[in-house]
Amino acid sequence: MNPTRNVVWQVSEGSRLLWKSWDDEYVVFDDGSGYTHVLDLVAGEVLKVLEEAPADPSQLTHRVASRLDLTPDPKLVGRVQETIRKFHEVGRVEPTLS
Amino acid sequence: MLALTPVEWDLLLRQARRASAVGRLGALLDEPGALDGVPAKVREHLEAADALVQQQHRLMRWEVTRIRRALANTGVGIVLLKGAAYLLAALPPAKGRLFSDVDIMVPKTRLPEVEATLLREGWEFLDMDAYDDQFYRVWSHELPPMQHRDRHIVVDIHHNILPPTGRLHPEASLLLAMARPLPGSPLKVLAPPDMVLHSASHLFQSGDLHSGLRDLTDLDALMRHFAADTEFWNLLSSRAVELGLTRPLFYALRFAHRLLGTPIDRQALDRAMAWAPAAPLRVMMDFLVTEALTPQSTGQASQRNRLARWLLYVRHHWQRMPPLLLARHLLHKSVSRGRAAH
Amino acid sequence: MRVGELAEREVAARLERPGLDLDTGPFVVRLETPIENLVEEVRFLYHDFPVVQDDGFVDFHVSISQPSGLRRWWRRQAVFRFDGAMPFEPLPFRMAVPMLEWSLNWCAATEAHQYVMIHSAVVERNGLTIILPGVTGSGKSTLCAALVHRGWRLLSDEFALIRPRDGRLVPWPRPISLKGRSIDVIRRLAPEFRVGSSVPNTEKGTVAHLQPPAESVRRANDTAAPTWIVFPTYQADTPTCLSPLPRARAFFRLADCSLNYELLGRRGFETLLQVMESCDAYDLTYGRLEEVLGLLDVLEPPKSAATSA
Repeated sequence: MNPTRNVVWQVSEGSRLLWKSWDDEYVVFDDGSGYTHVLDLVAGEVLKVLEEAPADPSQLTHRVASRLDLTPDPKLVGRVQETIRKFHEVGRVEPTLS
Repeated sequence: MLALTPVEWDLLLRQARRASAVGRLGALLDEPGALDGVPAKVREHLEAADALVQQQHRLMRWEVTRIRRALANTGVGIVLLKGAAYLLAALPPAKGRLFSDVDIMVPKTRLPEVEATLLREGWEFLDMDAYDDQFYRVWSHELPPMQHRDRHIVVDIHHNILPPTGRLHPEASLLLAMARPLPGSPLKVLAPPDMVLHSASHLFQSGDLHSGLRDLTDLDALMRHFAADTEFWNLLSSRAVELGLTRPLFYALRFAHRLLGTPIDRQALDRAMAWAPAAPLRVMMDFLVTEALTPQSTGQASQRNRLARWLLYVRHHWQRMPPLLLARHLLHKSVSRGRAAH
Repeated sequence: MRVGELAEREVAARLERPGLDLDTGPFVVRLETPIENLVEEVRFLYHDFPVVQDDGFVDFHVSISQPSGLRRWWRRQAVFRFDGAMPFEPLPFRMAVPMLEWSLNWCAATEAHQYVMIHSAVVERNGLTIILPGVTGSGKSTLCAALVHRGWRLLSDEFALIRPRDGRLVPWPRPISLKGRSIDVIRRLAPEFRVGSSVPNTEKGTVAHLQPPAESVRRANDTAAPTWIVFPTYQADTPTCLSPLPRARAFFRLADCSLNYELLGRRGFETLLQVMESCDAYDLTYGRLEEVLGLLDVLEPPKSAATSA
């Protein structure tokens, strides 16, 4: 499923995330699904933002940009979209139920 | 039970392992102070088994959440059965128990919609040959087992608690009508008498008695738990009549009482005697079931035990389908098992 | 009393019935076998292991025997039984010895979830340890044998057993298995090693086992703290290259080599976090054993741990 402008994303229901960071990377374990992820700074921030509250791609990009002190330019937008797509593929995030 | 010698612990653990019940043993000892007398090595084995149990429980909860979400927009009522029900309703049989599949029940009329929705959301039918697929759909009127493409848990979707081709036909609408919701969830589980009757029918109709003792302990745990409600035994008996499941209830009460010492209401036991089969069959069933369920002390299934289990397996399939079809099915099974071994 | 101190007759008799109880470190194994050449090799490979005399608790009941019926006499086979069940297909009779070792690996892999288990070799010297994770064929067993020859203590050539409560490594110093060319390589490098018979044509090629050093067996109960994690890859004729691995990457690769990380869920995660916090990790490619051994001798101990999230 391609993340469209109107989809609001959330961390998959039932997730319980445990975080560890070393240098510029995160290792995240989800006690709900049992999955483990290794994430770079942007992907980690995307997940942290969603962990706090569901967001659509545009809100997500702006929050990530502000927290990492980056410009919310098309490049970042693309990175965030791609991150959501990958997270969705592995069941880490899902669209909120309407 | 706690004052065992190391050799006795050794034997107990091996028995438990044969019955896939080490987790259960650990759960039984999960009381304050109970582990004090247990040797360190034994505790390590219990801990190891518990890790497996916790993993399975986690995977099961995750799967149930995903199924619920996938079917949310259809409005179909989902009733959890067996292990998934015990786990999510926090019932005693769930403690320390290993489960494999998630079993759910939906109204028969909604089956096509459920199937289509799950397929769209990433579930797939398990790889099976055309014969088994046909067996499920045409003969059993059930959906073949499903599995999400990203995960390993198998999901079985039922529209009744027993296959429609068998001799016993409980009315599905009665079961669904009495189903109870889980706290704070749209998911439901069967009413207590129905849960017991389901377990009883499954154990005594099922062809696979390998885990027979484990299933009987489920029954024991359920009955002990529900007996806290004084109305339970009456409800159980009248429900058995209503659903046409009096014969399995007779077996369940008789064998739980005889083999596990389950405290059963005297009146319920007496009433159940009326549902016993004629004497020769009853005597044979006594022998077969006791032989098939009693664990073997050397850890090796004796000839008699294996024969008893095979006879019960045949009986199960006899009740499920006409003789000619049974022969075909068994032949096919033994051929494919032979192929798989090479 | 150690296996080597018992008379051959007595070892054979006990192995036949009711079984010989071996203290292998973390696990007491009761081994039952009537097979003569297996009796011989057990006496040889497990020479320094203590025999448990009292009737006690046994962790794994293992039987290597022959099947009943035709295959008892024709194209003879050996069968591994665990608690009466047969987890593997029978193997040709001459593979009884590797079968024993694979059976013990199987027992731990399926049962020993009180530990986080990593498919790796582990050696120790002066209180510092190297974990060498890798699948079969990565060269870890050969490297392990070479390091042991050089004076490192053997904890295991196959399994790192990590204790969750304190992150320490528990030794399981069983015979080291060598495959194919590395059998000759090690025979030449370490003539003092006692090598058992070679078994050709197993599914892993030709296999032979080394008797573990008596000192390593003697210290089977001495746990150790993890220090370095080195992922080895052998490639003939390549220069030795040791490159540091960032911790998050190393964590993931270590988990990937684990037999039960996923199964253990949160406890597996927290245990490996503990390990990674105190360890330095490296990727190692090498083509010549001698070069590598020197390099591993002078690894820098880790500085204090990086800050956490």
